[in-house]
Amino acid sequence: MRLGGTLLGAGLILAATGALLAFRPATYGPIAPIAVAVAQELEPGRAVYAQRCEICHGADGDGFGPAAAHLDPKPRDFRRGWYKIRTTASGQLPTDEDLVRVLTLGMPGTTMPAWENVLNEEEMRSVAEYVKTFSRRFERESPEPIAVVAGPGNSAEARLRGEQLFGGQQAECRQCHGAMGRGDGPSAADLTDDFGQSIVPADLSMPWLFRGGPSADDIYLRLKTGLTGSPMPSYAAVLSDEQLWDIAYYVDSLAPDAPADQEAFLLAAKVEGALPTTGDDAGWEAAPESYLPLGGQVMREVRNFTPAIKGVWVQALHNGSELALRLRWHDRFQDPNDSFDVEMPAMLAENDERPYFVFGDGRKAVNLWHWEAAGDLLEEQNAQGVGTRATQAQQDLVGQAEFANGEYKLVIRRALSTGDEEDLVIPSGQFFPIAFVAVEGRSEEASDSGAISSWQLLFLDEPTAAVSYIWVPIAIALTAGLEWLVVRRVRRSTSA
Amino acid sequence: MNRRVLLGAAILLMAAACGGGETPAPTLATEPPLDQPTEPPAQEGYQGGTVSDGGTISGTISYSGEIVGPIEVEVDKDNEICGDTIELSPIVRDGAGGLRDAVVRITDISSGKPLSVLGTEFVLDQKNCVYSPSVLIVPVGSAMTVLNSDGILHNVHTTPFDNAPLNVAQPGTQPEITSDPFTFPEVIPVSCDVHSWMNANVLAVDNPYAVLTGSDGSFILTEVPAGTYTVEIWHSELGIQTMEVTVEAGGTATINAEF
Repeated sequence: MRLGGTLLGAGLILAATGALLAFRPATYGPIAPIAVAVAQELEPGRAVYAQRCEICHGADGDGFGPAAAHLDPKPRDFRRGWYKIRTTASGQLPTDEDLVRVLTLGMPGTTMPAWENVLNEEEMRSVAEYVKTFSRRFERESPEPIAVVAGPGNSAEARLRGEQLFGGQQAECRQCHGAMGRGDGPSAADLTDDFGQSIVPADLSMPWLFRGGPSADDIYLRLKTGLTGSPMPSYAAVLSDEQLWDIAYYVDSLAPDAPADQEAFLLAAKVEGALPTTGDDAGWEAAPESYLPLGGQVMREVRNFTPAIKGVWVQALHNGSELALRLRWHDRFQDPNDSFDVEMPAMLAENDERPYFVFGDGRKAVNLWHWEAAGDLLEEQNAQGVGTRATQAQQDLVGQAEFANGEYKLVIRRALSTGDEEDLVIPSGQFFPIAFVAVEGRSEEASDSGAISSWQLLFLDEPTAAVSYIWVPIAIALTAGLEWLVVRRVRRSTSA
Repeated sequence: MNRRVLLGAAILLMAAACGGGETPAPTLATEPPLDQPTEPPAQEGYQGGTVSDGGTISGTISYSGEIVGPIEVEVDKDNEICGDTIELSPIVRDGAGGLRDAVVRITDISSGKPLSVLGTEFVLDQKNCVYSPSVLIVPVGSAMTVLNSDGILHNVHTTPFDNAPLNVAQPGTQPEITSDPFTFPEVIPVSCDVHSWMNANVLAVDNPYAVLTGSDGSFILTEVPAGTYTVEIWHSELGIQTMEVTVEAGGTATINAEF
């Protein structure tokens, strides 16, 4: 009996291991260690590289490590000596300081992490030395930092000049970056980087995603050196330093005024009367705007590790009987398959348990306020998991979408209580879950495989009634009066 | 067991555990996209001087295969300058099959006529949103002049192996730009990102025995010192052919090659 049990157990373990090993996908890079013989002084760098870098950048430094298949942008292929973030002239190699800076700070908007809290400076220098050996250009060329001129200081005049350069014949930045800098210019659609990968121009209004940093100083350097390996050229040969600074100050002004911090919850302000119907209505000024970063839907197939839409700005207003939402997101390419969903639980549970945020689950359904560009369709749907969307019989949504210069604005309104038993009754004065999904049609994201937020909390504000302020002074007066009575009694009894 | 194997296996297990099943093939590119030559470029210099009793290599390069095209590109930007469609003909041959714009060159010659016979100005023009010429031969040590005859933004973007790459903006206000001198012989693609159909090739050469075939596919290399050489025939679409050629003093060696 025992022997049989042991054999069965061993057999099961062997079968499971065999199944897992057989599952190894053939399209990934090699996982087995590749023996590399290096000079002794390179050995510490090689050891750091093997432990920290190889999984993405590959044992040969070709950017084809096992993790690379799911990444966009791809890890850098080091073999040509092409580096984006440098202080050297266009086409030149980076300096050692350039390499250490990128190791220290990472590259925002990519999967290159900041190593400053993991590697000390000596380790970073040694791995930079090792990485240089992947390109033989480092043996022949000695890069020098380009001469930089300090910025004259930000000013409205500089920004205006920068705006004219940006759109004018002297720089024509808008040809790729678009009129409002959202990366939607006429030449944005067919770009490839020097490694043959599809690439898009930066959305200049989201500087927290700039690879080399968000400040005007960083932008000036990028204009001066170009981003080698990408379509972004250097303008050093055709514009003066003052002009480069003007453009840098203008691009810096394209960023939102408030930092893109995620709020703790979304607030729907209460207003009187009818709610705004369009995205540009002045009535939206009463609503605070929150930015929510979105991540790829990587929980259910088809998993999307490289979502196109990075975030959404949300505003909400209500008037006690209707809720209006204003959603604003950047999409470089208008496409009939673009879509957006506002997701809420179909009903609020007593114990606050929420449906699974990826379109619900078998036990708990979600309402989807679904908009798609094709036919400008806005409809209410229910879902209980990926691939289970069903159009509701009763449709209660009103809304409209606009697209201009790489940005969608979508306004959706619904009565708080619709009388449809499939619909959530939206409570006011109470937190309830809400989530958002943005799909870019051009990159062929499926409607369940876009960029998704986790559950946020929406709160329909109910201002405190004026009458409640009266109770406090009354309570104080009553308490004081009672205390006075008690004290008077005690005094009488003690003096008697 | 090696840590990296364990790490890789752990990642695979986690990837399997996270999903609902097998991961479909990633849609992003899964091949290392670029090749890297294994040999470092030759470092010996070429010596130019007088050639006595030089011979000639001449002949005709032809192509007998299928030609698809011309490829029509719809222009969706800068139409006033670029027109509404651009016709691309990467392979051009005449009625007899003679292949135009192939480059015939000697790759392993170390002395002969001076490099300066190739000229002193090497000009690539951007006109009506195409490069002219589409193949430019430039000796190492010389720079290339790039003209913008269009008055709109182009960028000059090269992707070499051994030379330093170039990516400079050339807006309409900058009719002329000069590159850095080339330092290594190689084929260097040139492209414009603003107008993605624009592609050309620069052949940086370390000796003056390099010439483009004419519209009938014919070519001639003169003043070749007597000897045996490797001749390379390059075409932007059809690839490379190499052959050994022996040149007699004062004689003519004939090459008729077909792609």
